[in-house]
Amino acid sequence: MSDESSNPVSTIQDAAAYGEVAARAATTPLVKISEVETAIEELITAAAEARSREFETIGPGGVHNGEETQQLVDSATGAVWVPSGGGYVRTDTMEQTADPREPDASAYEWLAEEFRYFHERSPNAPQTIARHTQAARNALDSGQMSQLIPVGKATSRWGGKAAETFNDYFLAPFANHTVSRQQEAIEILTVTMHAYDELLKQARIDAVAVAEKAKAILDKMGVTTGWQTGSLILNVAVVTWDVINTVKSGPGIDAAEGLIGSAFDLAAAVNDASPQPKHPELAGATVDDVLDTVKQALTELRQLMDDEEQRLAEPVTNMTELVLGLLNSDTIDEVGAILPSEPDNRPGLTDGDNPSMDEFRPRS
Amino acid sequence: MSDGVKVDDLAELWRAGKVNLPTVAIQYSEMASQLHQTAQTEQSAFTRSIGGLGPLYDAWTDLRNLMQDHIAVKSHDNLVAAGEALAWTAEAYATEDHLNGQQLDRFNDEIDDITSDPDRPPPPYIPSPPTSDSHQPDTSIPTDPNGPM
Repeated sequence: MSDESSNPVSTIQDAAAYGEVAARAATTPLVKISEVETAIEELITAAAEARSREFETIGPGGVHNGEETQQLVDSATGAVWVPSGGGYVRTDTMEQTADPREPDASAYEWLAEEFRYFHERSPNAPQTIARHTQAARNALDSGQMSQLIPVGKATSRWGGKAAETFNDYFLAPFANHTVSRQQEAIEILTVTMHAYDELLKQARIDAVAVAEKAKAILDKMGVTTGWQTGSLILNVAVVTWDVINTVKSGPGIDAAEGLIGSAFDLAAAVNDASPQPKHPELAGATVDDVLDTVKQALTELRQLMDDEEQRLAEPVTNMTELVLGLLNSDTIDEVGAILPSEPDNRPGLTDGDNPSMDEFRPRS
Repeated sequence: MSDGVKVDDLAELWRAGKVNLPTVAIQYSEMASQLHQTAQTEQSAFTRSIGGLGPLYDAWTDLRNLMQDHIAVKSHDNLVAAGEALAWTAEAYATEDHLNGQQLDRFNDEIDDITSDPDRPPPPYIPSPPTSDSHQPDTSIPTDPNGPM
């Protein structure tokens, strides 16, 4: 073993950048699903109430059960409703309805389905997965790995070709490089799970922002007349770029070398443009118009979320290709960079042949 | 040649193969086990009601499976095999006329000590690491009345 073998487990020097990604995810607020559902229910209620305010009285409609009734016009469409048998008839379609001024939340239940995509995946799951991948990486930092030290000492008293090849092709590369490369490859699994966790959390935040902004606009309809508008900020658009940037330029820049650095370099090359948060606008003069822009904003949010997830997959795919490239290499040094040599395939002791007794050189 | 052989050196080489390297191999079994356990929650993390598991799922599980099967399990196996080779070397050298009778007895005593002395680490139990073929992912969606956090 070389001098480096005095510390046989070569670990990633500084995992601060990865820690920062985890910290970002940890500090991104978690909107509970019950909070998302409340925001959606309030939006549905607001839509129903705003819709009820779109009906204006345009004249008397007669008397029913001793009470005066009114003719109504839908200010959104111009359609007229006239009283009929305790309810109303829309004059252009002869559709019989209840009093259209009564808020009907059931007409807007479809909104709940529109929002499902943004809260159905649990951020708890990526966190759990990240804990396991971190534990997998930490297994190679365990004190048990120091058992390589006596192996180095024991084999240092052994000479000849078999001993040299054992050291050159198995022990030295394994102790000095292989373990740290393996840890890097696992680290990217952890980093992307933290980033995915943040993506799921941010999607909930953005979805609630859409619901709350839409509710605010709808609440003004019929109270403040005319075109209502409000802009949003969808931060889900920048999650992945921020992660790549954090790993590439964060305090743990030393850690972004080697395999993981390459994987993120490749991803950064694809994602070199600095994205900005998206600012869709919710607007309209009627409830339906406003809800159309809500649907458009949610469509955009879904596309942004899918795009971010795709970008997050890129460094992972890059790492897979890097690892496969090493495993499938014809060069023993490259295979040994990621995997301890297989005794059946390597020279000397590690070629599967029994080493010659002449190759054992006792301590003099 | 046997004049220069040190029984202790052979015993340490045997220990390196039978105790030290298998102990390191256990860490790879743990690594594989931890990666294996990620499958338990992957469905909750990735499943969406519109169908499919999304682009990250394929990329992530490809790398997870690669690291579990071809790195963790394979490293475990190679370390154990390399240890067997070292132990074989020590035993073969000791028994094939390189140690005299007295030295061979000492070598065997050393091995007995290594394997049975309560003050020394016992030969490790080496669990077989799980592979991705045995993943049993949880296909249920969380049913917590409060929903997923």
